[in-house]
Amino acid sequence: MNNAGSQVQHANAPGEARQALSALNALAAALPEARIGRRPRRGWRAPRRLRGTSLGAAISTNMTPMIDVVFQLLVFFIATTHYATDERVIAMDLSRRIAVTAPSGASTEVAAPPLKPLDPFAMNDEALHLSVGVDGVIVAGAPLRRTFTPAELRAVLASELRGSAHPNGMFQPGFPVVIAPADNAPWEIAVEVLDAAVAAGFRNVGFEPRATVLGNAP
Amino acid sequence: MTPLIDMAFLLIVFFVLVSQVTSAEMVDLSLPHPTSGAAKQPDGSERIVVNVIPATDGGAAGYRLGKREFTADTAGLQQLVAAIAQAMKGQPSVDVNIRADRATAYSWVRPAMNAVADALTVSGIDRARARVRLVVLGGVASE
Repeated sequence: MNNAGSQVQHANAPGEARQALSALNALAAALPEARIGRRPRRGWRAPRRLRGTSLGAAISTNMTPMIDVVFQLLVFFIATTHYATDERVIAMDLSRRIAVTAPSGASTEVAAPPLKPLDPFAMNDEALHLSVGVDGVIVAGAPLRRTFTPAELRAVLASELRGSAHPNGMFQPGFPVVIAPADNAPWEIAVEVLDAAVAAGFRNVGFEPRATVLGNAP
Repeated sequence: MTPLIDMAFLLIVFFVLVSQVTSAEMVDLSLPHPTSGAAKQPDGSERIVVNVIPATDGGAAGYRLGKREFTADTAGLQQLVAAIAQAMKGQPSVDVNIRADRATAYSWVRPAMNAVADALTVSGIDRARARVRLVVLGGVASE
């Protein structure tokens, strides 16, 4: 029994040895050419039985992970870059700190009917002074002498501007408008009032002359 | 495959550079958004951008010109004036864009406008050649 088993093993061994030998032969044939990092001979091709296997493809680098990373980076930078496409500017002349932006529909002076002479008593102030509070309430100085919300101010300024639409308006377009926001008034409200005056057609709009000396922080 | 990878790398380099330039100029702010459209599309002329960096309580944490930051005190503002004057040097006409958050108090924006005027005085530039431009959001406000 024992003897017979050992005979069977002996009988099997030559077959296994032959298989392993042929595999080693195949490796020995393939390896000298397929070693990574070694420049292949011109016109070298993997042996036919190794094509499509990892040994046959060992020369070329696998690009897929790199391309994945590159595309990830690309998408990240495209998505996180934001441009100033929706930004607009209101220009102010520095010489007198006045807005020089004409309204887009600046047709107020074209073909205007003859204007009535201005009432000299109505213009007893050299500029329209608009004090802006923290809550957005606007106190207009002489000659308006009223308090406004920004929306009201917009309508009143437009209706008081002398032009073809309002020949009896109180102000010429060049009449200076001085905006004096309170110290703690939000910048949004200050810009809103400036925008209202410029949109109404005033061309001489600006913030109050400086109340501080050079470099005087609040 | 190679041309595809070339293009992808070119695009990456482009966006990296552009995002560096824009982040240097533009602090992340919520700009004022006035109701009517008195504001204009900016032209492509030379410009200097002064940012008022917002603090949480409506104050300013500092001012920023390009990549340089200045503290919101007397010393910082004097440095800002010098920096604006330096940037204006040798340019025939300059626009200075002022970007401030909508919640920042006016008293913190005013020093930035004054600094531009002071820079003109310091460098002896005719004031008619420079303008301050207030940066706002375009489009019709939703309110």
